[in-house]
Formats: sequence, C-alpha cells, structure tokens
Amino acid sequence: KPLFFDLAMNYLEMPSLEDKL
Amino acid sequence: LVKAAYSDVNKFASNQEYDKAVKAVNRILGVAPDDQTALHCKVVCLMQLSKFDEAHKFIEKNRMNGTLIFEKAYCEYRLNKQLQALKTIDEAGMQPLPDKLKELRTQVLYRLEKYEECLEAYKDIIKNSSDEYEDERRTNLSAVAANLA
Ligand SMILES: [K+]
Repeated sequence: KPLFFDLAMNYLEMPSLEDKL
Repeated sequence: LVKAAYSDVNKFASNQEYDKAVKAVNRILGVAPDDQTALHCKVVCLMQLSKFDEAHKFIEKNRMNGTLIFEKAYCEYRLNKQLQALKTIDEAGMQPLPDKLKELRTQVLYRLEKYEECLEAYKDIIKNSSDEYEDERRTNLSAVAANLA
C-alpha cells in the first residue's frame, strides 16, 4: 500500500481566545 | 472564574496538554453552557486527543453542524464515514472552498478510491500552495498515481 499522509489534521486549530483572556 | 479558566485553556492547549485543557473548558461550560468559543475549544481538544466519536457527537448535540464544517467532516473521515464526510463538505456550499476543506476533501476522495478526481484535486492544491508540506503532498500525489496505474 502506498504511503499517504494526513495533511488535513495540520489545519486543526483552537479558536482565537483573544477577547476571552 | 470564566476568565481564569480561559487562561488555563490557553496555557494547556499551548503546551498540548489537551486532557487538562478539556477540564478547564468544562469549568467554563459549567457556568456558560452556550459559550460558542468554549464549545469550539472542547471539540478541538477532543479531536487532538483522538476522541473523534465523542467530538462528532458533541458537535451534533450542540448544533454546531453549520459552523464547524471542517471539524465535523474530519471526524467523519477518521470514523471512516467517507460518504458522509463528502456530503458534509459539499452541502456546506462554500465557494471557493477554504484550503483546509480542499485538503480534507482530497483525502476523502482517496479513501473513496475516486482517484481521477483526487489526482486533479491534488494538482490544484499543489499549484496553489506553498507551505511546509509540499513533499508530503507530492508523496500523496504519487500514491494516487500508483492507484491509477
Ligand atoms: K493531503
């Protein structure tokens, strides 16, 4: 089976907490 | 209380201590159950902990289907519900599709063995991207080509 990377997971990020801190 | 808890969420998430971050988020949700930022944080933390089933159920229970499209579709991808993931992305009707959804949609096409459409999608992503994952993307393109050969 050819190598295949999951690159989508790299886009997962927390929302901005700027106005909560 | 909420401000202090957010400070903990921020600290733990920055340190990739997502189990501790979830506990801090739960403190916020205990007093502000509809806080959209906290709900979003919890989804991301659960996903970072590979709790995709729990994250997916949490999105549906809190009616975030319309806002957390990427998160919902990614959980479906990892839960091996590829047709549902494709539906989630396409029915959101976003034009143009944001980069993260393009990348995810292409991986879903690969899992669905739609190699010709997948190949075209990768060519488009590669042409229009310049990030640190170009080598990995070319490896994926080769995997698609191998399946077409
Ligand atoms: K990819």
